[in-house]
Amino acid sequence: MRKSLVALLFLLVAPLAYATPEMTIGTGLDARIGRDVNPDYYSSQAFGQLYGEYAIHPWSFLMELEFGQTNGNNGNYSVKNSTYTTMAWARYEPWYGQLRISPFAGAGLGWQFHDTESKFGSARDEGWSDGGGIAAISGGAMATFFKHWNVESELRLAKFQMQSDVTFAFLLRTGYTF
Amino acid sequence: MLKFRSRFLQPAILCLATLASLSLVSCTQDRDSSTPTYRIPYIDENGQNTFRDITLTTLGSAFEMNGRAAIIYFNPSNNGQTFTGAIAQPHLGKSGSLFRPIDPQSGTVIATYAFFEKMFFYEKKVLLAGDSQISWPRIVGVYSSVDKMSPNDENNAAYIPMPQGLTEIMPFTDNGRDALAFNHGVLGHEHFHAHFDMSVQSKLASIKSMSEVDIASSRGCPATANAYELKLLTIWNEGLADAYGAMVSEQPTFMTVSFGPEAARPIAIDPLPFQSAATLKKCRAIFPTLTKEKLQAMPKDQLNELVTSIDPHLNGAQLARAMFAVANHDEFPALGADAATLNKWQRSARYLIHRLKDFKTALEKKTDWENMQPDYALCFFFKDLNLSAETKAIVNKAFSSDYPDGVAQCGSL
Repeated sequence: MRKSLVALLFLLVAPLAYATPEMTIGTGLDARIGRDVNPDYYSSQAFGQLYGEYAIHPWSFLMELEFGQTNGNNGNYSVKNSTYTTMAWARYEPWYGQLRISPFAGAGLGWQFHDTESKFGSARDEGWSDGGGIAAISGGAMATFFKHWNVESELRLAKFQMQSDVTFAFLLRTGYTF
Repeated sequence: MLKFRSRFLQPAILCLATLASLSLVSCTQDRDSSTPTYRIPYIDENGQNTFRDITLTTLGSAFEMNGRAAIIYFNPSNNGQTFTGAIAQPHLGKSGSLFRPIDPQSGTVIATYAFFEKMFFYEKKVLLAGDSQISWPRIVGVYSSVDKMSPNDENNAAYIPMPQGLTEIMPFTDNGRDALAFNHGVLGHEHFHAHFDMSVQSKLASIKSMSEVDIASSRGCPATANAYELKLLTIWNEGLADAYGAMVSEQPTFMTVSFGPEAARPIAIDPLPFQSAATLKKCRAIFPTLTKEKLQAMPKDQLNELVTSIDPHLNGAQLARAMFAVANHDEFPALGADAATLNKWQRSARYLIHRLKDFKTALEKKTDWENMQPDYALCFFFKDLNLSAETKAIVNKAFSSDYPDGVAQCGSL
């Protein structure tokens, strides 16, 4: 068992020795499409993103911090919810170095938090809550222009612990690579 | 071995890790949610807005509003038989062991379920065994959009009797007031319609023979004897529903917080006289020749009288006020061995539901509905009560001009 784990780790790490690491930081936009309270319908929500990427091609590792906000009411009951999401991704480019725009597939884990302010007439409730874990897979493509300008586009399928169905997301990212 | 690493093995490992993570996240969704506690908007016993932590014990899952008390749909379709589609799934965050709705739609469907769970246990405790004819879970649709319905349907709630008994809570557009989904008086009113339907209206043989014309006519001017029967049943149903809403919410002003003082039907005031049978049918002489021009030219007083005469809610409100007065003075008979453990509102609710079966039996014997008096329900519910002089005087105010002596004249009805 232990030998297998060592072999597995070696397989993962070995290619890193052959490549030059790159760092990228940037911003992105995440458009999530998830089930409505009536699960027969979908609703969308946009999130802004900051990210940092450490790439030893064909592998890259990504850290994201996302923020999105919703506002709504029913009569004098209103809810303003700020959602913070953090995710860590491992991604692999099977055709790295062969194509100008390099496709990748990835898997990520993360967590979500909510800062919710609710009002009901003169009554008010505010607090942080745990939005639960997230497991996701993604597929997309990345390219670097003028040596430093990193552009990525990605489709995701995410399972949120607090929701029964999967959420789809489309992301655009751009950053500076050094 | 390094050759083998080339293109597929490492992604395969990545996939395996992902599948394991997805399984972990999926399987742990319902953690600590067997008896979830939610923080929801709540109108307290004093009619004040607050947030209250409510533990729901009849739900199967914290994440789906489907349980022994109710099945809640959000913006559902209706196929004429029942709501179709998926059951509402609220969006939640968790603070310790407490679930917080993260959007108003989620808070609304949870609060709606919470009301029906409250009624599920309330009626088990308060109603006498065998008195309730309704089934659980209740089927409820909560709407936030007016797609496929008229804007006139907004800011309202409805009970649809056949075939399943559906409760609809329509979109609420007044941003300054409490939405109907949080108003236990309004929801109690609609819930009562289910009792009236199952204990009285659907059991009457005469109802089954009614035509679409009769039903349509009963909503406006009751042009036929059948329509007049339906009109009377609707008046009584609406009045008793107002009273039941006040009893279960213990808030006689429950309508004001959602509709405002100008549109609410106040209950905690003395009743006005019921419309007489002649007034209820007066429209028959006017409507056949009534044109838009004639309606516009009609003096305001005459128009108001006409509208009032055919509005079941306004007529029913007089029955509700009489009911409220008796309940508030705690003068309904205390039924059941445990009556002393209930408060006056609960004893009144018990009495009201208990009498519905007898009301149906009494109505079944009526063959001449065309000559039925609207005051009949007042007599049925109050004539055998041992009322104080003060309460009797209030109740008597609800009788129509045909019965100036009020309860004392009930022997003739």
